[in-house]
Amino acid sequence: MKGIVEFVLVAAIAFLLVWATYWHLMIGKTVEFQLMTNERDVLSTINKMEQIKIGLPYALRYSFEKAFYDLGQKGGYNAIPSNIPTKDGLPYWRYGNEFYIPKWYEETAKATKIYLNEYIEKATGNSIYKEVKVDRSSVNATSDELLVLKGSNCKVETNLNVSIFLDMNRFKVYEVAEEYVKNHCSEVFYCDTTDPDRVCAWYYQDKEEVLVIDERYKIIIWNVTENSYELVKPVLKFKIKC
Amino acid sequence: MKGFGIFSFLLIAIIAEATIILFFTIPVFLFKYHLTINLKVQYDYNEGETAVLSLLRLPYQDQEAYKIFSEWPIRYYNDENAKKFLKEKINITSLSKCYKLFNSTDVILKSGNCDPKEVLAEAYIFVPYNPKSLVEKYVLVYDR
Repeated sequence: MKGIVEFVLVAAIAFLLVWATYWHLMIGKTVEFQLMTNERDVLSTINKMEQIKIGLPYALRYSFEKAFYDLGQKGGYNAIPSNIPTKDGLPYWRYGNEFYIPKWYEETAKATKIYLNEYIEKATGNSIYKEVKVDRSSVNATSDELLVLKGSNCKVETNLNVSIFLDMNRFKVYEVAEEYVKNHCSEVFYCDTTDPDRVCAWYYQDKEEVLVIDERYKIIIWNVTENSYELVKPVLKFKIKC
Repeated sequence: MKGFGIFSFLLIAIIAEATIILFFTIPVFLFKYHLTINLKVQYDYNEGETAVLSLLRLPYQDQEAYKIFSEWPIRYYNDENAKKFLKEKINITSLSKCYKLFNSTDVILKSGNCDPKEVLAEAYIFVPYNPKSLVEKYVLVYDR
């Protein structure tokens, strides 16, 4: 009987020791696996954030180009104010003695902000940019919030204020248009051929429409009909009636 | 019966000793093994990602190489200089002669007849505005 008790005792101790060893190893593996997963998650999140930071000036430039193109097609306004006369969806920049020339830096900034937030939302799920400023030589996007990029077990925060520099003559298409509207209402064609940075304007009198083309730049635009990108020259369309 | 008691004592001692050995030696070996695997996984992963980040930041014609990826389907898909540039830089950053760089629609660069699998890194690139897709995924795979 005593022998059986001893045997059971030995077996129980052996069982407990083996069991303890097993759990010790399993817990160790689990902890190690978690650490490995966390480390990889941290690295992955940081690298993703770095990719976003490298790409932001490009996203801002593409947003600006798209905004510039879209506004040009709509007479320089994001939304045409109700007090401005329109025809065929285009605003009159001049109607008799009244002038309705848009504040193009502000309008471009508004549209750029919308597109830039689309980019950042696509990449991170957040649209953080509260303000975009456009002037003659630069575009600046700022946010008072930090961009938070969440991994499975971590989050990375960073400030994503971003700027790009523009050619000083980037808005010449608007400057030429304004000058044209104020001084050349009845002329058929205007083009400063002495300027190597050529910007041309056509006035179609029967349509009361002005088309201003910036010959220097090409903008990459997604052509929905063709389902592909194309390089186009910036165009500004608007109406005029003297 | 006395013999059986000694036998039991010895048996416990052997099991205990074996367990102690199991407790301390095997975990040490396993830890080392896992640490090696763990570090290898981390290293491979981070090496690939670092190679891609380095590649994106490299200067190319007053811009960064990022622009080549961004505007690949518009400006660079048939630009031999851009291809040559990428090929040289991938050779340097990955130290590999067996690699493949591709996106969702196109294989941009591929070396020889090999099938790389060892290191894989992804880059999410902002592309010119397109309402369907603002971000394109590029993948670089290479063997050391």
